[in-house]
Amino acid sequence: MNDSFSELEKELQELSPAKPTTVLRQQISKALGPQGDLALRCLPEEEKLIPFRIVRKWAIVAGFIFLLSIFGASYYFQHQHSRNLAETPVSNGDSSMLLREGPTPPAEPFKADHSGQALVKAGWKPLNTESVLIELHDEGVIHPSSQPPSKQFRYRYHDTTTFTHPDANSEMQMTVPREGVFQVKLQPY
Amino acid sequence: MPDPTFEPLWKEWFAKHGPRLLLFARQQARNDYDAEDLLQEAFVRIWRIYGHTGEVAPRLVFQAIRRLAIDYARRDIRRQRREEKSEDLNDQERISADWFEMPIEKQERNEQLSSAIQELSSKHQEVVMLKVWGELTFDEIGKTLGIPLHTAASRYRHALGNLKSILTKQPK
Repeated sequence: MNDSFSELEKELQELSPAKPTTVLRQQISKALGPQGDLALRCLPEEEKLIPFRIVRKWAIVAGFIFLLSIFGASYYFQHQHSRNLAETPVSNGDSSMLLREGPTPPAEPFKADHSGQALVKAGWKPLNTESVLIELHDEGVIHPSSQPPSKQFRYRYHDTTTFTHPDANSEMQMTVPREGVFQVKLQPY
Repeated sequence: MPDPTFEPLWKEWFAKHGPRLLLFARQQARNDYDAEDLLQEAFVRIWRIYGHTGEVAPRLVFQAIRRLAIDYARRDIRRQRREEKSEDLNDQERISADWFEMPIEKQERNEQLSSAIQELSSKHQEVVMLKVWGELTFDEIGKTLGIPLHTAASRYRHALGNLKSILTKQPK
């Protein structure tokens, strides 16, 4: 457009047309009737999309937290189960559960080879020893030569011995792994 | 305060385009009463057809206003209908016939411009209305008024020229 008119055009554009009256809007609303509400359902307003985006963001965060909690819970229960198993004393434990498929484990745990003789020589005195059953493994029926068949079970323990040193007034714990095999002879018929 | 979620979309559309449509209706009609009737009828007609899509091109309403204005001019029965309706309306609100908003700081200049625009011929007025406030292209103006694109552009240039000379003659 001609430059001489651009200033006039700009001035005209700054003029704001008068707004329709409230009465006119009411008349239009009345004239449109229920048809005026049709677009309400067809095209949501821009503002309605904002909460949806927020919900989507929160859904992602919630999903992430949910997955994290599942991993956390599974780790916790796995760890807890291992710890419970490890802390189950052989003598005081629920043997019915542990030995459901096998015979009662020997009342006296197998003696550890590493009994801390070197410590005893150094002045340490053993206070007590606790054996904890770590694992029970059913190895099935074995057929030793010149003997009747037997069912074999393998036990794995942790023997924890507490030593005390009277001179140093201190205590020390020594844990030694131990493995034992228990055989139940089968009566062939 | 009503929940905006349940606000019909036409109200938002009308708040945006209503002022420019009313301005054009005022230019087309013989008086302010007819202008509002024109706008109402044109808008309701178009919105009933296309309103379900949620968006209506203002050009369609401009076009409907113009066609209805021609019909109104041909039929004088509008006067009778208007008188029947006017009994129910608040006359206080309908008295305002200013084509434009008149803020105090620009009132004098705006009045000059408004007066100059109303001095233009009807053909020039409608082209200026559609171009400046209707924000239509010359192609759209041509389709709305039923004239070729070049004629619309030419009319617009002449209208601005006339407007400028009217404003120059006005005492400042």
